[in-house]
Amino acid sequence: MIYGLAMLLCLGAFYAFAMAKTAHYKSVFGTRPSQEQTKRFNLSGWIIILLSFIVNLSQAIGYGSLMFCGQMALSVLLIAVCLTYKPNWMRSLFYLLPLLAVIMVVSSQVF
Amino acid sequence: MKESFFRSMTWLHTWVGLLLCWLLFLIFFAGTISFFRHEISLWNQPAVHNIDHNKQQQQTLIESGLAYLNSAAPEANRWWIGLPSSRQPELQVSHRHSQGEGKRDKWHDERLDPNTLLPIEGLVDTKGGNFFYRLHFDLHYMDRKLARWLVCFASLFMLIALISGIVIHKRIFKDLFQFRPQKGVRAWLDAHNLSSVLALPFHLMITYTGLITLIFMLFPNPAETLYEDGLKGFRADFYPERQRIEASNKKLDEPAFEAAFTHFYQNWPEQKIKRVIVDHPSNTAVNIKIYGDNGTLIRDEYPYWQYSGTTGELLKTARLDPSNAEMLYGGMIAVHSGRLAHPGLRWLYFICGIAGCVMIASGCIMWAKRIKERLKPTQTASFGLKLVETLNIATIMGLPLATAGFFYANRLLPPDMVARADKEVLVFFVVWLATTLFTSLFRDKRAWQWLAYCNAAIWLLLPVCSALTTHSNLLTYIQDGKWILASFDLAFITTALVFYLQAKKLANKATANKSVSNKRTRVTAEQRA
Repeated sequence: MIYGLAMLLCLGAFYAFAMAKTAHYKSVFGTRPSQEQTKRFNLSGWIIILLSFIVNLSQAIGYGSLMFCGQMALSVLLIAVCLTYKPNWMRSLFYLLPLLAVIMVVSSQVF
Repeated sequence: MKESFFRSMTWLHTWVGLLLCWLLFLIFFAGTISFFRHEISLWNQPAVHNIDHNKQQQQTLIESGLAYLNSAAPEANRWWIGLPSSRQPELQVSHRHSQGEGKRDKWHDERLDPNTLLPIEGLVDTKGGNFFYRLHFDLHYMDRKLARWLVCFASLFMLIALISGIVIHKRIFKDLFQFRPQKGVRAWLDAHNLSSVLALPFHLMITYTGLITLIFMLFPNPAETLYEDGLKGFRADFYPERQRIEASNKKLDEPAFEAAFTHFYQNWPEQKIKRVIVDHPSNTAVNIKIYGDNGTLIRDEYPYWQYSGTTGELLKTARLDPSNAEMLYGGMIAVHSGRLAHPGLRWLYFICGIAGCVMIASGCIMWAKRIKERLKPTQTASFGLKLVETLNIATIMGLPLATAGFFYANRLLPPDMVARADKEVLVFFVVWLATTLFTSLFRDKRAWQWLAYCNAAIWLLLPVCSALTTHSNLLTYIQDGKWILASFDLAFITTALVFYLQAKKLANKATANKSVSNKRTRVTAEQRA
C-alpha cells in the first residue's frame, strides 16, 4: 500500500517533468506554457520525486531504493506511452493523480 | 578534440554494442525470464498446482522431512530439505547417492505436500525455470567455463556500450519522454533511447553486478596472493558450507537431530529456516547444516549453522554477522538476482529486463537499417548485411517462439518419456534453429510480419493448451486465488497481443513504405535526369 503511494508520487513527479517541456505541454494543453509555469512544473517534479524517494526509504533502505528505481522506470514508460498515444488522458491525469494520492492516504488511515 | 572524442565514442558504441549484440540479447532475455525462475518451475509441474499454502510450523515440516528421508533413502550421502515459500508451495526433499568411483553423484528429487505431508504424485521430469537460469550464464550445450567467459566478455562490452551510449546520445535526458512512432528510423532511435534511459539505473546495475557475480573467475589474483592455496583456500574461508565432508566407515543408527535442533530453536527462536542439509546421515561423519532465510534483506548467501550429527553440538556458523566486504559483495549479487523481491518488485525487475531487451533489439535493427540506407539502389546487399539481418530476426523473433515451444513441450510431451527434461530443452533449440533456417532464406519485412503473426498465434494458444492438459484454466485460477498461475496466462495473452500489434504495424508500414520507396526512386530518377 505504501509502495503504491510511492509509485503514484513517482508517476506524478514524471508527469510534472514531462509538462515542464514545451513540446509535451503543447501537445497536452494546446498552448505554450509560460516560463513561470515551466519553472513551477520543474520544481514540483523535484519535490514530489524526493517525497516518493523518502516514502520508499521509510519502508526499508535497501528494498525501498530498489523499488524506487523500478517505479521510476515504470513511470517514465507510462508517461511516454500516454504522451504518444493518448495525449488527452494526460489532461485528466492532472486532476486524477492528486485525487488518487489523497484517496490512498485517507484509505490507509481509515483501514 | 571534442569532435574526435565524440566520434570515437560513437565508433566504440556501435562496434562494442553490435559485435556481441545477439549474445547479449540472449543473455538479457534468459535473465529476464529467470526473474520468474521458481514460478516457471511451478507452472511446469502441474501436479504441484493444487497444493494449498503451507499452514504447518517449520519445526513440523523439518521433522517430517527428516522422517521421510530416513525411511525413503537411509543410504544416501546427502539429504536436502527445502522449506515451502510463497513462490514454492511444496516441501522439497531430495537425496543424493554415490555412484561408485569416478562417477558424479546422482540426485533424486521428491516433493511432499506440506499440509498432508504425503509425497506428491504425478510429478513430471522437467528443468522448469532452472533451464533459463542456467541458459543465462552457462549458455547450454557449451563448456561451462568457456560459456562463462563469453558471457563475461559480453557483459563487459555491454557496460562499455552503456557508458559510451550515455555520452553519445546526449539528448536522452532532455528528450526523456519522446517517442514518435511515425518517423521511420527516427522512431527506432526513440525506442532505443527511451528503453535505455527509462531503466538506466537498472541497466548499469545489472551489467555491473553481473560481472561481479563471476568476479572470482575473472579476477582471482587478490585471493591467490592472500591465501596460501589460492582460490581454493579463499573459497574454504568464504563458503564454509561448501566444504566437502568425507564419509566414515563407522555406522551410525540415529543422528542427534533432536539435540541439534533443540539448541538451534533455543538460541535463535525467531530465525526462519530456508533449507536443511544433512551430510552422510548413515555414518559417523554426519553433519547437519541449517540455512537461514534472508527475507527481503539485501543479502545473497544465507546465514549458516553447522551441527555435528553425532553429538548435536554447534560446530560452525557463518554470516550471522557479515563483515562490510561480505555485505557489499553479497548485496551486489542479491540485487542482481532479485531473489529478495516480492511480486511487486519482481514485476518491476521484469519490466526493466524487457526494456533492456528492447534496447538491444532496437540497436541491432537500427544498425541494419543504417547500412541498408547507405546502399545505392543498384547495389545488392553484401554478405555482412545479410548475416546481420538474419541474426537480428532469428534472435529477436526466434527466442520468444522457442520459449513458447519450451512451454508447449512441457504440456504436450508424454509424462513417462525417458529423459523428458532434456527433450523439453531440445524442443526449445529445435524451434530456434528452425526459425534461424527460415530467416536465412527470408529476411524482408514479410518475414518479420509472418513471424510476428506466428508468435501471436502460438502465445495466444498457450493458455488454451494448458487448460486442456491440466483440467484448470484462467477462470479457475482466479476463482481459487492462484495468482501466480493466473498471471502466467495473462502474461501469455499480453505477449500474444504485443506480437499481434507488431504484425499489424508491420502490415501498415509495408503499404506505407511502398509509396515512400516509389517516391524515393522517383526523386533519385529526377536527380539523375
